[in-house]
Amino acid sequence: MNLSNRLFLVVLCALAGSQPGFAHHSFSNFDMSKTATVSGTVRALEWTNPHVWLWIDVPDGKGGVIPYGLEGAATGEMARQGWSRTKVTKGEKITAEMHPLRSGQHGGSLGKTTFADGSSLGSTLVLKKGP
Amino acid sequence: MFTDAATTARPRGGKIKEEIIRNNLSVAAIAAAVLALCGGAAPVSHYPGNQGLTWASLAQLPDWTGAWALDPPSFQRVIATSGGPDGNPNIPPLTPRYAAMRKANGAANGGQGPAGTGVETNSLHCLPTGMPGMMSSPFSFEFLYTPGRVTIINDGREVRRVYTDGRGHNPDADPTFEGDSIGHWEDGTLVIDTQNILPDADLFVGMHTGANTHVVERISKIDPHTLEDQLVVTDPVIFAKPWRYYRTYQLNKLGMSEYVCEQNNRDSNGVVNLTPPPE
Repeated sequence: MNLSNRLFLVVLCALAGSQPGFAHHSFSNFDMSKTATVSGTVRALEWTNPHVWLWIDVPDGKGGVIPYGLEGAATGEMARQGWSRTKVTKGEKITAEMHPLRSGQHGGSLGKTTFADGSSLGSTLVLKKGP
Repeated sequence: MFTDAATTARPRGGKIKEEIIRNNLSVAAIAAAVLALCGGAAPVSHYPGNQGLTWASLAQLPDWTGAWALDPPSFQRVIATSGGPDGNPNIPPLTPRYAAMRKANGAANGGQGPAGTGVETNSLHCLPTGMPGMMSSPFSFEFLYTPGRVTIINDGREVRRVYTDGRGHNPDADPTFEGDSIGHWEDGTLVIDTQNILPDADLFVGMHTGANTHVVERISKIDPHTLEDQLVVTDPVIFAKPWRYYRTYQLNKLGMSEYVCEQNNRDSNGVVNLTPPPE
């Protein structure tokens, strides 16, 4: 069983309410049934707790940008998946999947993130939804 | 379970170490007798295991050096071992009253509550998770040995002090999130008995502990990279029968990290702060 399948089983367990893990927040602000993709340039990476926040400037089609705030996991969890406080630099191109905020605001729960060189990293928060 | 433990504990180590240990135990016994004669509270030596009682004997203990991160697959293992009601091993074996509470508060509804607004946890409010939920936190843990005590700390700065010096539980102690833990070593296994847990600790997501929640753990290193915690949680009001499950922890070469809940808490109580950080 590969890693993604195993993680998906974890998700099923959590969804069944059987052995839920302890995440910081309830995910209730996010529409976990939807996945959106945002592309732009890195505005900032807040390497903080309880969760890391990745900020992406997304072109608004009018010559400006809209800052999107994407909530990751705790620094320790993110580090175990390959993230670090120096993983991204301001201005670099980036694409991220997210579960959008129910409010329609510009942000979401951070999912798979793809970098300019084609490599990608996950975020623990995705485990709540599954691959 | 624990009455057998005292007789099954097997001493290891050289004669000199054993003599030191015996001498220490003798001193403890004399001190207990004196206290009893004077009307004081004599320490109760339920588990007179002799590993880790002195600085020298700490070398007899298994090497658990390092940071140990909660292992997601251990949530699968519990499926086969917990044994819930109605043949469904995925559900903690709750009494009917608490099963109804669990359903009502949404822990059985995708973890998002009946209205999809989320299930309460202590972490949501930056409170300690407490026992036994703490051992299911997505953090790394470290196990520190000093004579007669093992200290367990996680990234979230929750601290468990497990006294292995033979003392009993202190019935006068204030309840705490982590509870009152005493333990002993059975060769390479640390056996911990935890009581006096504050009824505000997290039993699991969406449910708190009760006034008589009792946790027994057996922690051991099952391979060079894995620690295993076998937990048995009982509470006569909450559980219809003991709730048994496993958690495993993988050696995390990145080490411990610092988790401060209040540092940059942008997502709290249903409100998300989307003001970008200053450039």
